[in-house]
Amino acid sequence: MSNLIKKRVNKWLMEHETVLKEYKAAFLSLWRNPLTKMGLILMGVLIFVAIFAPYLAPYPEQGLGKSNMEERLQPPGWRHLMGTDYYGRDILSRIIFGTRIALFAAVIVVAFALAIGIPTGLIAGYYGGKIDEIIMRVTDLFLAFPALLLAMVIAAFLGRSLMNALIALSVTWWPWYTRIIRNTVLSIKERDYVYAAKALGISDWKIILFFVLPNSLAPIIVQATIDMGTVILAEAGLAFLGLGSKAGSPDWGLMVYEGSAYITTHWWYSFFPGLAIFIGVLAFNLLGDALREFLDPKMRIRRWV
Amino acid sequence: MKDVLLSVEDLYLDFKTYEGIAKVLDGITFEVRKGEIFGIVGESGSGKSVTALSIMGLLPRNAIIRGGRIIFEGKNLLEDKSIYNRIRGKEITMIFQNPSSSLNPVFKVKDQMLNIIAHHLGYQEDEAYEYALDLLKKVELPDPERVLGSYPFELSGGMAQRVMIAMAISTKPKLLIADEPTTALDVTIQAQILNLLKRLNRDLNLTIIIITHDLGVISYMCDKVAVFYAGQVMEIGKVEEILLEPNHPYTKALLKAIPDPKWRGKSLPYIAGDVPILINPPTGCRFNPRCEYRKPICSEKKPKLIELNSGHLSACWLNERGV
Repeated sequence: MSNLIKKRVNKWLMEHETVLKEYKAAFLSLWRNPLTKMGLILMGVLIFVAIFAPYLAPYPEQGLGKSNMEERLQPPGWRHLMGTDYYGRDILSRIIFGTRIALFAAVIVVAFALAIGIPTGLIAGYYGGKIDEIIMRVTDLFLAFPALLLAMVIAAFLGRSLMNALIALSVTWWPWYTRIIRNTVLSIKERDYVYAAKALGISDWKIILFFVLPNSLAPIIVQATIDMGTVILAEAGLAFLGLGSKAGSPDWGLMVYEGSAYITTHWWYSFFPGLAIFIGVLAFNLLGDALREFLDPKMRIRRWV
Repeated sequence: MKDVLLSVEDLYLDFKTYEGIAKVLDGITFEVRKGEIFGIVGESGSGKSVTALSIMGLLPRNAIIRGGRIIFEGKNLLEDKSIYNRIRGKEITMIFQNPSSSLNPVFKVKDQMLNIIAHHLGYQEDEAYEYALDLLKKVELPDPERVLGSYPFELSGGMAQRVMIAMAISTKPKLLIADEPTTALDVTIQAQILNLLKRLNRDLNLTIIIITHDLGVISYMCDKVAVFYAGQVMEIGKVEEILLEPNHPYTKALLKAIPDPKWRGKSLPYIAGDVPILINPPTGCRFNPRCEYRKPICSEKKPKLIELNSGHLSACWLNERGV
């Protein structure tokens, strides 16, 4: 049985040898830059921590919210590496579980923004004219509306929860993507290969899908990566203001807020969650910068040297 | 006439620009017969490419057709845009100036070719692959399998142009418009591509319109040629007639300006004056401000194309009796 699997794997490796080599070369060229290396490592750690939170956290049940009144507001020490909070919960455990919330928020908001932003941007940019005008004015409408205000309105209507905060962020986030995609498409659609494709009689939607979209993706990939960091920050901000996660959930922003009342006497309470936010944002930003460099054709020569 | 494949009649076209309305085409008229190689020659901005794009129905948004007809196989393409869905890429195709940037950079040649073949002919994958190989052999690419597995950036300009030609002839079109197909290539490759086009014209009975500013290409390739200047047709005729016995003053001046090794050390002859700005073009014959035989009527009325002898037409008041 295992022999059969081995054979299959080998066959697959043989068939995809050149592609795998390309990926390997691409990865190695990314790995060479120390900042990129740091970004990749931080990113790997964040994802690892998020997946294995229950096994990594020293006190998993406290991480999820169980109080531990005997050890309230303990300073960092061997029992609690990052100290404990007002309810005696281990802050390290809570930060570890908070990674899940942060990454979840980042992925959901950016995925929603991409899902709406890419099609609208493509249509606006490619067809231009009236439909472009309509789509862009709608994005203006959304951009004119402050995210914070919208979050407050949504929280007031639907109640305070993580999901509602994410809805508020998503609704205010997608127009940026529409704009970026539209602007890229405007230049891509004038390229020779798009004209050549038209001259060969390829239909509009196929040109959009196979010629315009794949060639417009680079700036969006960069923006999406950096935005995941920004979303973590924004979500923490909403939580800090009491517009996000419900009290008791291990949300980094919420923990910073809870600790702010004790900041003069119990520094660790706010400091470590704040550090977690910083690391999360930094990881995505480093990765975004690396991708920007990697995807920029002008940098390509440097990349292969 | 029966064997006329395409005729452009009195095509007027404007471009809306920020500076004003540019009158880019001013009554373009010519006809292309089945099986011939028809050349369009002119300076930059003379309306060659715009004419090609109007035939393809690929004009930019700011272009306005003011009048005229483009008749392909008896149907006026300007009247019914829906015809294009049927003929563009199938019966009329076009290849462009920069072959290297005319292929989609993110897909392999194979994917692009199979896509086109499947799109137009509905072939299954294996069948389409065989056909693609066949086409690449037809355009004389050595090692077609390797080309199919390459990304466009791995191909040289000449190879990319051959791939473009292969894609263009995949649907067995009747008319191929080649817009400066060899301008971006070096001289040896240029000759190879031109020979290839000539052979395709003969073997597939493919009618070709070739647009260029290179009179050498015209004399090597074409049966007939139209000389464009500032959006007007100056002269049309068989290549030998145009090059050896030009009638129009512009054609004459153009031919005089071809450098000759005998002139080493002397300054090159040129046509005095500048190409007109088409937002405010000269009235009448647009060449009149630079013409050494200018008469008062030249700036008053546009001369008609007059048939001097069978198939040789020229638009000049000098040919008109009693002027």
